[in-house]
Amino acid sequence: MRISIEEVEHVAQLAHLKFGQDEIAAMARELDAILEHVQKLQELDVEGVAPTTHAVPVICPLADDEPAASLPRQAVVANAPDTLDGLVRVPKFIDDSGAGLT
Amino acid sequence: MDIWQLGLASQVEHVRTKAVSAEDVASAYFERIEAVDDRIGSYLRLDREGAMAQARMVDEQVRAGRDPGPLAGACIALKDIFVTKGVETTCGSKILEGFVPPYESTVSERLKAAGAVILGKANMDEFAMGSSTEHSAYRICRNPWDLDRVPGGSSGGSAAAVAAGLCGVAMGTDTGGSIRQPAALCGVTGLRPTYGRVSRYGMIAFASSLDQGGPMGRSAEDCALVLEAIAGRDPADSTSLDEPVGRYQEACRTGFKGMCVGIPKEYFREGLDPQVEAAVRRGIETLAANGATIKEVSLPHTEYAIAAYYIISPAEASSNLARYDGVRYGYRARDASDLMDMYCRSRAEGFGSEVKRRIMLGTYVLSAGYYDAYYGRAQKVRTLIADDFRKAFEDCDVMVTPTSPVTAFKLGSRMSDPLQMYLADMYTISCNLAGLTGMSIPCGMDGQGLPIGMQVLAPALGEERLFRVAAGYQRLTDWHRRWPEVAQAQEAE
Amino acid sequence: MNDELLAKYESVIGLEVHVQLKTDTKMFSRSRAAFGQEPNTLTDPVVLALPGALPVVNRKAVEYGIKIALATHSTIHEMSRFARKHYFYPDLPKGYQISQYEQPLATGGRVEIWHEDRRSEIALTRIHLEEDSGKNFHREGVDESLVDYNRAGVALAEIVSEPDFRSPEQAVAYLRALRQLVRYLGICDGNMEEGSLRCDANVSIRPRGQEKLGTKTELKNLNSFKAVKLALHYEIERHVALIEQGGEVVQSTLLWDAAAGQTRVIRTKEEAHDYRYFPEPDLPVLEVPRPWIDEVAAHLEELPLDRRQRFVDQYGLTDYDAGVLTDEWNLAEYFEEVVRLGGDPKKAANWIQTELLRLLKEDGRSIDEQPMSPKVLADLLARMASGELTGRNAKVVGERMYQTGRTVDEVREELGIRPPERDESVVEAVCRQVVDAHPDETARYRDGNKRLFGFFVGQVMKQDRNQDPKLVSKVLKRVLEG
Repeated sequence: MRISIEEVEHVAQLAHLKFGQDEIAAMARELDAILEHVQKLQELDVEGVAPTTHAVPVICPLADDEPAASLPRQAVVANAPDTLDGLVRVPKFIDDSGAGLT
Repeated sequence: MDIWQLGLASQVEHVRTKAVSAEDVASAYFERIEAVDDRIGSYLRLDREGAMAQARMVDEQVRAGRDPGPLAGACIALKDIFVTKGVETTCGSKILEGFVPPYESTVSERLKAAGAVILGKANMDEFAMGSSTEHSAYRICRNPWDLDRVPGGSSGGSAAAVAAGLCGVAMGTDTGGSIRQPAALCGVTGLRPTYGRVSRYGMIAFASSLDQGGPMGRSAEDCALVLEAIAGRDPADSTSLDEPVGRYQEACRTGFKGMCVGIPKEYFREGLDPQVEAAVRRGIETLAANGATIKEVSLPHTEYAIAAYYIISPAEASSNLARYDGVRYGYRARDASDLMDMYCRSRAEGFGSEVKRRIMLGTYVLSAGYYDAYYGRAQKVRTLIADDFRKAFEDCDVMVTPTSPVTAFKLGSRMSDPLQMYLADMYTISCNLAGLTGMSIPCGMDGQGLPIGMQVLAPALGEERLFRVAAGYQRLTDWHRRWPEVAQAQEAE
Repeated sequence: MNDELLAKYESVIGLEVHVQLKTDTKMFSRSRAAFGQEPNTLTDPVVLALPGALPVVNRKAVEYGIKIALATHSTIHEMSRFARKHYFYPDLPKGYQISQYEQPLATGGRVEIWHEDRRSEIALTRIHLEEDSGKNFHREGVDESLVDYNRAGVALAEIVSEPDFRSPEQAVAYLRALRQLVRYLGICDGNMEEGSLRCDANVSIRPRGQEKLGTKTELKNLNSFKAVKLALHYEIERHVALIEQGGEVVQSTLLWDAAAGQTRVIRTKEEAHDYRYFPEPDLPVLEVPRPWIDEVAAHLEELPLDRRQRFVDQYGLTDYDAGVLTDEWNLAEYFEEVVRLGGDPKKAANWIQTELLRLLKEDGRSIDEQPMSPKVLADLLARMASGELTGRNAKVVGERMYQTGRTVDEVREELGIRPPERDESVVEAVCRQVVDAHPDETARYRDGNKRLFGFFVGQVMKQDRNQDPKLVSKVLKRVLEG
């Protein structure tokens, strides 16, 4: 096996997904088969090959710093599953982001 | 002949010359959808009101003597991956059920600006992940040529709608073959433009470095007409190309005489259905007999394409789908005990199995310690694949290959083995990895009366070459003019 | 903890500073960026990470990044790359932050600081561009949190220093220098309370003389200079105590709890985020061609230390005075405006330092928050120079001007302060009156006790505070000796 049940559980945690025990086992089998296949890439010598990050290389365009219209607050509220006074409501959590970024 | 049986260019011409009103064209399509789509399932949602309002506007412009645009009255099935302001957009997923975008995709905006009428949102595999449309969270989509078979995917709804005459033209997206493969399986013409040729703004992302939207129609000419209207730089998409839009309709008239057609030998090996191979070879003969030079070429890294693709696309997908967290829009699990529970259950309940599988795979290959072995390596292999094409295209103008190794398969027959499903993309994936443009055109039928598609590939921004070959071929053949029985049903009744 | 114990160890500190760039729109969308607006009124599809939305880079934010890089002598890379940094948080709409990872905008560089009267250089690791998150609000006693996305996507430059600091004070000096720098460059208002300048620190200790670095911990939420200082001291002492007790420091991330005055662990190394960085496919390579860098360099604002030196050279100020006046860009601007409007540089410098800064300090205001314009201060200084206002009156008038923003004449009228008597005959009359009233002293003066002259001046001034001491001296001399 290229991937263990524990690894699948860890990855599920990273991806914020939840699986039942049966699902985890099935997922492990499926991922294993795919990983087995992609192992093929190890055959190739890629030493010195530059990675392709963009299909057609272009230079990043830059936009002028001119404000466009904001969405009305109603548009934010309308699609949000739960709001209070124009703010988006979520279940409480331990906020460990400090100044806002981790 | 009814209006829906005419080609798109002809329909537009009728509208522009007042021979028929856009409103009548749209009504005719809605009637057909009503009568036929129950059995096919090509649409997830219709926007009758919006379509009729747009059609009336086009008619008013015609009456007022103003130019109603190059797509006046063209009736479009829009893959549900394009966001439409005020019209629910789900991307085939439960997690977006009820999501009504407050903005419009560039593609649909340009279509409307050109006078097109958007009939509704086409069925698709959830988040465009799949090759059969069986991963739609909402309804089964059937192949109009055999209702027990899949239409291909992920733009299966778009392909089926075109094949059954339920729209004038459809918009699909293609990340690894999602326009070309269903086009092949449904016997229609589908173009995947060069990455960056058509704006991705408002096109829900699957794998950002591979995704590209394009037209699916009854002919290369119909696709050319649409592409001219939607292609070109969009300031809202930083990866869209700042290159002049080609003269695609003109290219359709030019023909392929004198062009060199490369035949990559690696595309005619094991796994290819003999009937498909025979049909494609006959297609190549037709090209050769009518002025094209045929040349065998080699793409040595072809066998690595699927592996590279199934690392790169899930990696990007896992990132792109992180935003579906139940916070700002879309599905949120009820009665969550805390935030983490809300996240995990919303995503577990909102996403389907294939999407979760890809998120898992993508998360894994990007996770600490695996990046270099998987994602980093896959991107290097991507370079090798692109180099193969660069070299091969030094010796030919286009390449011709099968689009799909098989014709439409039975519903449910491949659901249990994801890897087998992935292998169905073997001929289409390289185009996306290498940043090429590709088209699938009908080139035959198998013994069961199922369409066979032939893929034409060209280097980046080589769309005009594709149109020369495809339109030229379609002037010599009638595979693209055939209708499945179900399309005639309305009249039978 | 006793100092002897602390002195056994050397602390090694590095800072990561987030600078909120003062652009009108966000880093990757043209949604307006502003502070203090109604919640969720500054959003668009990109900010909210609606399906299908795509980022577009703000040219001005890149330009501001170039400015910081130039001002810190960093190497600007003509090709840099954006990357996605993944983690789930309600205030992070996309589930990833667009940042820069392997190829940042700039690397290397240094910041010159003054600390304990010594000039030193702090090396920078890198400067990169990224986007801010939204804000979570937690309410006491309620099992829910609320999210505002107004700040989401605001442009940030992150400046990462090498672990070059050996004391919390030195780290604070650097942070002050950085704040001063970004304010001079006009790219950030440097307001730590509002979060436009934010600081994380990493700290480790090692026995003095040891080369090998100790295990470091990371401190977050240091949103004032005081917090940086206190948190670092706290953490250093914690490290020392751990090691002295035979334990060891665990690599972890801690939050500074200002109210409790202590740090608290939020995650250990095992629980560390796996950010799964990969190149942002939605944004091509960021190109900063040489001519652009040269263009920005040509228009780069004067830097604090350069201005300080210029004040010495151009206005003949002492280095100390120049340092005080250039500490804040606004103050330096104010000073130069007063001089431009005719104020004598040394007198202006003196007045600003002794009067204005004292008043500002008492009120806890900044130079921009008081109403006295450079124009009226220049006028005040001119009237003092001409003798129209006595030093004492000028002080009274000046204070009132500072409070009200009124002109010299308006304040003088309000306080009933007349201009000094110019008519010599009037002054002479007063002088004679004083001389006549003090026959003994007059006699002693005339006998040669010239030191009594001061006494007479005092007596004359006592009659009328509005007199010009110079004129009084001149006339008095004539009266006494005549």
